[in-house]
Amino acid sequence: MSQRFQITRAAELESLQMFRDFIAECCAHHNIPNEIVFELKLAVDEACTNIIQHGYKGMDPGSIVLAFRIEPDRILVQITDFGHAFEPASAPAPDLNAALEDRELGGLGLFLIYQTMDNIDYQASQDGNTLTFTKYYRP
Amino acid sequence: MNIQDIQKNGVTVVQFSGSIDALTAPAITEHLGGLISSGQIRLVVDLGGVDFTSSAGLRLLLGAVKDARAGGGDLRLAAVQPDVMKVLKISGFTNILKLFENVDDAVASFG
Amino acid sequence: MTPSPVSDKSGQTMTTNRIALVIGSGSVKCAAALGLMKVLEHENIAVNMVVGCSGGALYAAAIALGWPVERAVEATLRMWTNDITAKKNRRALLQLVLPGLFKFDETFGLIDDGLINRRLREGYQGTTFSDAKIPLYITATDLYNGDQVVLSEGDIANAIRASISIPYIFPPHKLNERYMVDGYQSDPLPIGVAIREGADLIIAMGFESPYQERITSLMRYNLQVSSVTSNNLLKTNFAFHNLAHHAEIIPILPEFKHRIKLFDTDKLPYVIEEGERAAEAQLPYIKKLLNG
Repeated sequence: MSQRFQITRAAELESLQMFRDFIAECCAHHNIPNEIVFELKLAVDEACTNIIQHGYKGMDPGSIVLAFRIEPDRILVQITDFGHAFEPASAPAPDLNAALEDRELGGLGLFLIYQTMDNIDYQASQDGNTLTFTKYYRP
Repeated sequence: MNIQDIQKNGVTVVQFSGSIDALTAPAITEHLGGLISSGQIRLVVDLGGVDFTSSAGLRLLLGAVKDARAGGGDLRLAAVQPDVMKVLKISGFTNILKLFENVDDAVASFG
Repeated sequence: MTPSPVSDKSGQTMTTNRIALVIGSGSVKCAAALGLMKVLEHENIAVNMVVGCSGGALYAAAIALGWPVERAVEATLRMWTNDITAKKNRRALLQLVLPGLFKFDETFGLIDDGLINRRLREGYQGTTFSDAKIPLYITATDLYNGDQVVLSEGDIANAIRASISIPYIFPPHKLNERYMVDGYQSDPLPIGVAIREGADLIIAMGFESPYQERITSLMRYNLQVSSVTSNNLLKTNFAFHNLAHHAEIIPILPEFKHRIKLFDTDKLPYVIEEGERAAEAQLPYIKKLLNG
């Protein structure tokens, strides 16, 4: 009773809409409640934006693989990229004096992912960086 | 993303339609920045046609509202759709911005 | 901050700094706002709006209604006495033991609120928000969805009652078909209201909730948990508001060497003095901002 979906797109801002449309389309066949679909689109958009703007900085833009599995009560999402690993520990301390609108993701974007998703995990390895999260829902 | 301006009773109503994300945000930021620097600081942003926003939308709205207020004006939102409202709520923005059900109420609120 | 041109209702452009005073939750300690007011009055600094939450709502209302400090003190001494918590709500105890039989519902509160309701009605004598000389905003929290509710019309006593509904102690207050709990549940220092209402300079007097020295009862445990949450909420919201506001927010955080308890009204003169002291410490900065 679970179905897996996957899409690979270039790590560029033009791909954001494609990722969101892909999620909407896959969910449409599974009667996923609208607000759940929206939150998935939001979390995936924020994660991919971060990869596009920071993950491939100084490198040839690579790709982003979005995979997810729809189960009767949850959706498991996996986002993989092959750029720089996101290392919160080695990241520069946030500039608390910067205006909110000038702050980069890690602030507001990451906050939105944490607000909307469950079981968030991140693994970096030679085979790529993988962000996973789960969204529970009531069918 | 389409952007359109309408003048109503000394208030500039900016209509967006489409999605606000990291791709579309820069054009909107630039548009609002242009209005504010030309002195149009009484702004209503009509979000009736916006079905999605990421944090990029929050950042640009906040930047614009602060500039408008610093000049003695304000930026108010109208016709926010439920999904977008959810993003505004969880990030605390509904407590610092004025929101109205429709454009006319938002325009009237400037008195 | 440079004074900003603002169009008033007649369409004329004038130069002004809209000054907001925000008084956070903090029970009797909120009277420190009267000390702050004394300092502002002495310096001829006029406030353009007042926002109050929980205990702060009592003084926000007094200030907005234009009461002199002496009258506000007198009113507090009359309204806020130990006996308002003397009468226990007997039904609440039964609701706790047998929630099914005695129909536990959203009106739960261990204290009968009859006396506090009467005291507030007598204290504010039927005044409404439209009687206020300065725009007044009082915050409460919607029990069912957690939203901050900003009250700015109708009966002032009623709004204050909603704003001071300390959970478990006073029953939530039903107003406009919503059940309201204490304003601190959504924001112990509601600076966001002043930002939204167009303030430039915001003077915010806030108080951290006290921690229990020892936890020896369920009620103390509840108060402790509540203080932990509320103090963290205070800090997070304050950080957010600072980033979100286009102009200055001046925090005034009086320090009390003596422990001020919920009904320590005999310490009012001391509390007001500390408010004055804390305000005076920020005065040079406030004046500098106002003079550009």
